[in-house]
Amino acid sequence: MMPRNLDSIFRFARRSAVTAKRLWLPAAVCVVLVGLRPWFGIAQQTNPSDGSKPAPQAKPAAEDFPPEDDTEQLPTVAELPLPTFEQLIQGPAYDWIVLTNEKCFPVEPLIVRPGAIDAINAQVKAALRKPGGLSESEEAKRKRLALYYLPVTLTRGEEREYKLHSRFIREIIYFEDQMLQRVDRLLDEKEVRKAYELLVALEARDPKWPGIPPRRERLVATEAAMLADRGELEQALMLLEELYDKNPAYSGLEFQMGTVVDRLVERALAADDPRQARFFLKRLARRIPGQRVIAQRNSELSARAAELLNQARAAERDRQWDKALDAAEGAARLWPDVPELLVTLYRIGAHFQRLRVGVIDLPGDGSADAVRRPADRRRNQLTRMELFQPDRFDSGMTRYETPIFNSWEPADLGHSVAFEVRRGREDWESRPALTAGGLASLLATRMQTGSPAYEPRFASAVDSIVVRSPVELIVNFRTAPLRAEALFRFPLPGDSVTYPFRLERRDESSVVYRRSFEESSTTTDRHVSEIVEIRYSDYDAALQGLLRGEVSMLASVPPVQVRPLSDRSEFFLLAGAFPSVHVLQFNPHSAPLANRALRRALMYSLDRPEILQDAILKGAGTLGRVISAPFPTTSNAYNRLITPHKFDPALAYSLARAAQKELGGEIPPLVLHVPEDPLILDSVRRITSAWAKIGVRTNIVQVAASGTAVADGPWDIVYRTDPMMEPLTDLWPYLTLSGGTDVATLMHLPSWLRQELLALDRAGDWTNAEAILRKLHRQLWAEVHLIPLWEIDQYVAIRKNVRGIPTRPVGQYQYAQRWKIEAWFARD
Amino acid sequence: MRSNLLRQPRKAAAHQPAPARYPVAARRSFPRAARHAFGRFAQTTLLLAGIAVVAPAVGRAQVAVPLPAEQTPYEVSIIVTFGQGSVPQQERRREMIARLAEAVERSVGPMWNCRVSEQTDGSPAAVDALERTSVGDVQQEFTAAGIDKAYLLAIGGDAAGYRLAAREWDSATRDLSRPVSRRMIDLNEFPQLALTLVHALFRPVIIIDRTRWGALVCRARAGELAAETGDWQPFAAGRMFEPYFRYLSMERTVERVQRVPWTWLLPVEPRRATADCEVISGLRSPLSGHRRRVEVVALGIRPQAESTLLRVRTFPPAQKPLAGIEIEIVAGEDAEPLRFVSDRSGTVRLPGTVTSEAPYVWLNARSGQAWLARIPFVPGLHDTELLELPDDAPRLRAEGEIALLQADLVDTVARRAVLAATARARAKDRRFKEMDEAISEVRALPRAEKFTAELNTIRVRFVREAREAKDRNAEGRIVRLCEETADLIKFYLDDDKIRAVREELEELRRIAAEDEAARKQFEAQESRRKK
Repeated sequence: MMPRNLDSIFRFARRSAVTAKRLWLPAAVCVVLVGLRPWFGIAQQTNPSDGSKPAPQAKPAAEDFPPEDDTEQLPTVAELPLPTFEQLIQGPAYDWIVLTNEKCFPVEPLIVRPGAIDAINAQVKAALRKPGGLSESEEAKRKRLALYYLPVTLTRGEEREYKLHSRFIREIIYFEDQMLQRVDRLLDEKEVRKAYELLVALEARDPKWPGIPPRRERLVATEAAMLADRGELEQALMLLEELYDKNPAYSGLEFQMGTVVDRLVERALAADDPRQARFFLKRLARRIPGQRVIAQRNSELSARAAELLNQARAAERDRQWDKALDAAEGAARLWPDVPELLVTLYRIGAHFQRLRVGVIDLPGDGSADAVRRPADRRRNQLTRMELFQPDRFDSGMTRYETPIFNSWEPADLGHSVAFEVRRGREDWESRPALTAGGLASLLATRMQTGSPAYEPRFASAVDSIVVRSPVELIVNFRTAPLRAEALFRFPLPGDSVTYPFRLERRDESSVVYRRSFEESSTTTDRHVSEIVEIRYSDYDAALQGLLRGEVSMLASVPPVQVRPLSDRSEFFLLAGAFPSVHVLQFNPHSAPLANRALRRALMYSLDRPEILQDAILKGAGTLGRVISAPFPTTSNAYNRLITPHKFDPALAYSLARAAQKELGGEIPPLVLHVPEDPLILDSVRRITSAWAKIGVRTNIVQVAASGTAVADGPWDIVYRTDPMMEPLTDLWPYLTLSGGTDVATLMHLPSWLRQELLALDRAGDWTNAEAILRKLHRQLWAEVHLIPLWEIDQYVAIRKNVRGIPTRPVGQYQYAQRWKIEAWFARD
Repeated sequence: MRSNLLRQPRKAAAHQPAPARYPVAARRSFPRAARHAFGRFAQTTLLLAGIAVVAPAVGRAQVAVPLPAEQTPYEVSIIVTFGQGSVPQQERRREMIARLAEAVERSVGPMWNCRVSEQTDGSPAAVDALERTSVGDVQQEFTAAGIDKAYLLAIGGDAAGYRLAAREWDSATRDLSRPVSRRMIDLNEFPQLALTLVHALFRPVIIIDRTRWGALVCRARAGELAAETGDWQPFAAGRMFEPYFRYLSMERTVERVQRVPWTWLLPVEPRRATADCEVISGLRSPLSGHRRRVEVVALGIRPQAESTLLRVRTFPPAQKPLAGIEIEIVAGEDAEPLRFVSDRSGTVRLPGTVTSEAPYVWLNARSGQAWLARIPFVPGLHDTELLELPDDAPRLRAEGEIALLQADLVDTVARRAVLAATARARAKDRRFKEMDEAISEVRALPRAEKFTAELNTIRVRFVREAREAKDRNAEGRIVRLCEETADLIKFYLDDDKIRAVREELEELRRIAAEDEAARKQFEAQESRRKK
C-alpha cells in the first residue's frame, strides 16, 4: 500500500496542497481517529523530560487547525495514562504524537528517534535556497515542502501509513520516554528491582537514550537508602561508593555516605570490633577525606584508646598484669596510633605474655574419653604433665623426655630403673616440686586394685618400688619392659591443680589456660603466662583471624592453607612430628557391624584416594596419604607390604547384599559419630554417600569435644583422628576404646586378636614386638576391624613474635611453658 | 607366738580322759560303713578276712582294742590368748576359761576330749599375731601332743570393747583355717561367743572308704558320739567335704598331705556317723586307684573368705600365667553366669559369695570359643586356688591365620559372584566379547586349590606345634577348625558352580548364534521371494 500524505486529510491544515483530494478526506480522518480511540486508554499525559521539541516553525494559526469535531475524540496529552511496568516490559511499543491543540494519538515507533522534529527542521534548513542563489524550481520546491512531513504508521486500521506536517506536531512522546517516566515513578515508590529491570530493558533498546545515566544514579542512591534502612549498611556503602565513583557531585551523596559509615562504625564498636570501625572510617576517608563523621569518630576512638592506656598503666602500677594487658591490648585494638601505646604494650606484654590461638573446636568438660578430639588433646597437653612425654619422632620411633627426672638408668638387664628426681624448680617451670617418696606413692596408687589411678599394665609390670633417698627412686620390674618410658607416660595427678597450665575459664567462644606456677616477679626472662583459644566457625575464618592479627597461632592448618601460609614471611609454618591418622572405628557392640561381610562392603565401597583429594587435600597432593593401618606410615609398626584395599564398588555391593541376607533381610541404619570439623564433615558426607550407593544408610551425629562417643547413646562407627604415637602401648587402648589396659576390655575382640595384643604386651625385644605389630597390622587389615582412611600431615602456623617452639612439635603445645611471646598488635 | 604356744603347759581346766590311741591299720580293719553296705554275708566274709589279716598284728600289739573312727572322740585343745590390757585380772581369766570349758562340754559332749587352757601372751597385738600364725608355727607342737583339733583364740582390745579372733588347726589335714573374729562389748559374752566361733570353725573329719563296687562310703570321726540332734552333727544338711590324700611313710607316719583339687564330696542320705558320698569333681577320676600308703580323708568345709583369687596357669612344668581366659561362674541352670577375665598375671578375683541353690557352683574356663575346663567350685572357701589349663596359644594362632584366609575367601567368593552376574548380564545383551572378558577374570581368581594349599600349610604347622606341646586337645581343635574351613572352601569355591555358569553362558551364546543364523536365513528367503 502506497503511503499517502496525512496532511491531505487535514484540508485546513494545508491550504497549499494542490493535489489534495478534498471531499473524502474529512470522513476518512474521522474514521481513522475513531479507529485510534481504543489506544487512547494507554496514552500518557505527563510531559517527557526529554521529548522532542516542537517544530521550530511558527505556531500554526487557529484557523489552520482542523475543526474541533475532527479531533475531539482524540485524548489530550493531559489525559494520557502512563503505561504500567508490565505493559512497558511486554510491549508493544508506541510513540505518541502530541498535536499543537494538545490532542494526541499513538503511532508505531518512529524511525528517527529521538529528535524526529529536529531532524525534519535540519533537513528543511539544508534544502532552503541560499540567498542570492538561483530561483527554486517547482520540483525543488515540491521536494523541499515534502520534507516538512513526518512519516507515521498508525497502530490500527487497514490504511496505516501517513505523513504528518511537522507544524501540527507540538511534541513526540517516545516509548523510551514513557519507560523513563515509569522508572521515575517506580523509584518514587521504592520499587528498585522493577526500576532496574526497566532500565535494563531500556538500555537493551537504546543504551544511549538520553536520560538513562541520571536514572541509573538515582537507582543506586535509592537502593543504597533502602539497604541502609534495612540495616544492610555494608552493601549500602558499597553502592554509595560506586555512585561516588561515577558522579561525586550527586546530590546528597556525601551526607548519605557519612550517615551510613557512622552507623557502621557504631555497629562495629558495639560488636567490639574497632578494627572494622577503623576500616570503614578509612574507606570513607579515601573518597571524602573531609567528611565530618571521620574527624568526629577518629577523635572519639583516639580518646577512648588513650583512656584504656591510662587504665593499663594504673593496673600495671597495681601489678595486676592481666588487667593491664587487657587494657593495653584493648587500646591497641581500638586505636593503634594512640601515643605511647607501643612502649606501654611492650612493657606489659613482656611481663604477662599472652598467646591467642585460633581453633575450630573447644575442649569439653574434661570427662574421660577414649576417643579424644583435637581440642581435648590440646587441653591434655597443657593441663596434664606426664612423667615422660613424647619429645620427637625419629627412625620410626618415639623418643621421650621428662620434666620430672634428671636421669633414668636401666640396671639389671633392664629389670630395674634408677630414677633421679630433679631438685628444685627453674623459674620457668610450671610443675610441682616432687620427691622420690611422693613419686613412689603416686606409682603405688597405679598398682593398687580399686584405686582410681589403678593401671593394670603398670601393676603387672612393676614388682617393687624402692626409695633410696629424697631424690633417688628404683623401680623393679617383673619382666624387663621394652620401653620403660612408655610405661611411665601418665600424668601427674591433679584434679584441683593441673600442670603446667590450668583451665582458667571458658565460654562458648573461647577457653583460657593460665600458667599454674607464676614465674618469679623479679625475673626478666619471662615466658608465656596465658594461652587463649578462640573458636572460629571454620578454617577460613580462623585463617582470617590470623591474618588480621586477632590470633598469633593456628592450632591446625588444613592442607589447602599450607601453601598460601608458607609463602608469608610473617608466620612460621611448622610441620608436626606426627600426622593425624583418620580412622573409622566400629563399635565392638554394634550387632550389624559384627558381620564381616558388611565391614568389608563398607570398606570396598570407599574411593579413599578420591575422597582424600577432593574433600581434604583439595590440591595439596603431598600432604596426605591413604593408609592401611591405624598408625602413621612412618612408624616402625607400619607394614609396608600391605597396601590399602582398592575401591571396588561391584564387590562392595555384592558383599553388602550378602551381609543383608545374613542380617535377616535388612541392614539397619548406622550411626556415625564425627567430630565438629568442617573438613571432616565434608569427607564424611562423601563417605556416607558412597555407602548409600551400596544400600547402607547412615545417620551422621556431630559430637562436640569430649563428647564421649563410647558412652553417648547408641553408635556404630566413630571417626577418629587421634595419632598413635607409640603403637606398642597405644594400640591396646585404641582398639578397646576404653582408655585403659585391663584385659577385660579386650573381650569384645576375637580371641586370636586378643592373644596377639597380649603377646605384644609381653614382648621382650624389639624384633619380636615389631613382628607382632606388623602381624597385627595384617590381621586388622584383613578382618577390617576398622577402616583406616588416610593420614594428614599436621601443621601449626605461628606468628614470628612467638619463640621457643620446637621445629617439629609433638602436638600443638609442646613445651608451651618455655615459649616466649613478644607483644604484637595489628596496625591496620 | 610360736614359742609361747610351745611353752604352753597343759592345764586341765576341764577335760575328759584321753582315749587310747590305735594303730591306723587297726582302725581301717572294720569299717562300720562296710557292714551297713554289704549286708550280712559280706559282713561275715569281711570279718573273717579282717581277722585273718589283722590277727598277727593284734597279736603283736597285745593291747589295743581298735575302736572305729566314728566312735573315737576328737582330742581337742582350746588355747585362749589374752592380749595386753584386755583382761588384767588372773582370777577373771580363770573364770572365763572355766566357763568356756563348761560351755564346750555342755554343747559338744563326748564327741570331744577337750582341754581349754590359757596362753599368757601379754602382747598388745594378740589378735594380729593370731592372724599371722602359719601352719609351721603350730604343727610340730600339736602333732607331738596328739591333738586332733586345736582352736587358737585371741582376745584383744578394740575401740568399742574387745575383739575375739579364732582359728582352727586340723591334725588330719595339717590345715590351719583362716581366722574369724567377732566384736564383744562385755567380757561376760566371752564363753558364748568363743563357743560360737569354735563351732563356726569346726570342720568334721571323715574317712573315705571305697567299696568293691567303686562306691564311696564316708565315716565321720566321732560321728557315733555326736548328739543325735544339734549343731555338731558331722553330716549336717548341705555340708560338703574336701578330700585330702595323706601320704604315709613305711612307718605309717604321715609324710605329706595333699588336697585333691577341684573335688568335693557331697553326702547322700547321711546317717548318724556314715554316709554314701557323691563325688563332685572337675577331674576325671579324682579318688581312683588303691594305693597302699595313701589315706583319703576329707574335711568339712566352711566358706569364709570374701573372695578367692584364682590363679590360671598352664600345666607344669611351664606354669605360664594365662591372661585373657574367660571364667564363668554358673550358679544354676537358669541363672545368668557371672563372667570374669584373667588379667596379665593370669589371676581372677572371684567373689566369696554367690547365690546358688547348691553348696557349690560350676566354674567354666574358656578361651574364645574353646572350652578349656568345667569344674565345681565353692566360692570363698580358699583365699587362692590354682587352675591349671592347657596352653591354647597354638590354636589361637591357627585361628588367626585361618581368619586371614577366610577374609580372602570371602572376597574371592564375592568377586566371583559379581563377575558371574556381570558375564550373565553381558550375555543377555549379546555382548559376548565382554562376556568372555568377565569369564576370563573369573578364571584368574584364586581357586579352591590355592586356598586348600594354604590351609594345609596352616594345619601342618600348628598341628606340629600342638604335638610338640603334647596338647591333644589343641591338636584336635586345630584339625576341626581346618576341616570346617576346608568345607567352606569346597562349598563356596566349587568348580562345578562356575562350570554351570559357563555352560549357561555358552548356551546363551549358542542360542544367540542360532537366532542370528535364522535371521539371516529368513532375510535370504525374503530377498529370494522378492526377486
